[in-house]
Amino acid sequence: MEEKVKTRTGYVLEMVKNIRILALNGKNNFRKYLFDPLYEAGWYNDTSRQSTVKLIERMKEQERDPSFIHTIAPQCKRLICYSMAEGLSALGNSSIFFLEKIQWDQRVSLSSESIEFTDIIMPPLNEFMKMNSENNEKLFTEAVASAKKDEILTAFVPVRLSSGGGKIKLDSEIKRLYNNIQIASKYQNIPKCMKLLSTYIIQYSDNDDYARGDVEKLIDAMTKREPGFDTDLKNTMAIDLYYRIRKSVHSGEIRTTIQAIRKYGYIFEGDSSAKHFYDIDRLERILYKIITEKDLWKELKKESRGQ
Amino acid sequence: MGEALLKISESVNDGICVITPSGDIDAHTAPQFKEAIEKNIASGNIRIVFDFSSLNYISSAGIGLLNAALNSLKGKGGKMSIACATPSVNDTLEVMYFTRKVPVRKNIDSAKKDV
Repeated sequence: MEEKVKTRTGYVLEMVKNIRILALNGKNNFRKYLFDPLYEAGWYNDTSRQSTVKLIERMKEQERDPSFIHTIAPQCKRLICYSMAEGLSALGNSSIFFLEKIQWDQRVSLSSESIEFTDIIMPPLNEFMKMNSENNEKLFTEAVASAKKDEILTAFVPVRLSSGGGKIKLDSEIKRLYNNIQIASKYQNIPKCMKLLSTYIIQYSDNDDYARGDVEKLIDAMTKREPGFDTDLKNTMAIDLYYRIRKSVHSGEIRTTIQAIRKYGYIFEGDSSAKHFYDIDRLERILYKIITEKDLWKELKKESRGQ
Repeated sequence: MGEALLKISESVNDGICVITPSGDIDAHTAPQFKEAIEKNIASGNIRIVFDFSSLNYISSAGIGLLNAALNSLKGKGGKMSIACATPSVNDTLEVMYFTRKVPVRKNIDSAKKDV
C-alpha cells in the first residue's frame, strides 16, 4: 500500500493546480467536477457551527504539536464535509488545505481518509482537465492573435544578468539557496527543499549565468538522501509551469505564457517524459504561427538583441 | 495539424560529425533527434556540426535538446556549431537566445572551423 500511496502523492500537486484552474472556470464546472463527486460519495455534512476559516485556523495551531499528526487526515475530512454546506469557495479552500497536508507529510498521505479523498476527486478532475485542454488551445490562439504587438515583443526580452550587478545577484542567490536548503534539510523538510529548488530553477534557468553545475550537485545530494527526489522535482516544475501557462492563457497574460513556454524548453531540454510535454508543444506551434502571420520575427529579434 | 516528420542523416569526415535533420523538430520528433545526438556523442564524436538547411521548424523541445548537447559536449571537451539554418529556424534560435551560445554559420565549411 505504501508504494501505491507514494506514487499517488506525485499527483497531489497537480490536483491542487487543477482545483485552482477549475475555480477559474465558473460555478457550474466547480459543482460538477468537485462538489458533486464528493456529495455522491456521502461527504456532505451541514451540522457544523464553525466556519471553515476558523476550523483551518484551529488545525494550524494544533499541527505545531507533533502528537496531533494522526488526527490531521480525519480532521481534514470533517473540514471538507462541513465546507460543502458552507459554499463552493470554502470547499475549494478546504480541499487545497487537505491536499497540501497530503503532499507535505507522508503520514497524512498514508491515511485512509487521504486515499478516499484522492480516489473520489482525481477522476473527475482529470476529466475536466482533458476537456479544458482543447478549450485552452482555442483561448491561447485567440489571446495571441488579439495581443498587442508590444506585449508579444516584451515577452521575449531576456533577463540579462551577465554584467555587473546581475551576475553578483545570481551568485548571491545560489549561495542563499544552498544555505536555505541546508537548513531545511537539517530539519528533514524535504518538501521545503523541493520548493526552494524548483523556485530557483524556474526563475533562473533561462539566464546566461545560471549555475547549472551547482544546482545539479544539490539535486544529486538530495536524491541520494531521498530517492525519487529528482523525479518529484521534475514533476513539480512541469506542473508549476503548465499551471502558469493555463492560468495566463485564461487571463490573457500573453507575456507570462510565452515566458513559461521558454522556461519549460530550457529546463526540460526536449525530455519527452516530462509532464505536459506535448500540450505545451502544441501551444508553441500556435504561437509561432501567429508570430509569422503578424510578421513579428524581425522585431522580436531586435528585442532579443536588446536593440 | 498532422504529426511532424523528421529524417536524420549523419556523416563523419576528418573527425567532424555533420548531423542533418530534415523536416520538423518538435515534441513528437525530439526523441529521434535526441537519440541521434546522444549516439554520436557516446561513440566519441564530440565535434558536431548541425546542418539545418532542410529543417523547417524547431520548437523549444528541439532547442532544449541542442542546449543539452552543448552542455554534454562542453563536459567532454567537445564543440558544436550550426550551419545553413532556414530563415524561420534561425528566427526561433535567435529569439530563444540560442544563437548567443552557438553561432549560426552561412555554410558548413565555416561551421566546421568553429569546432
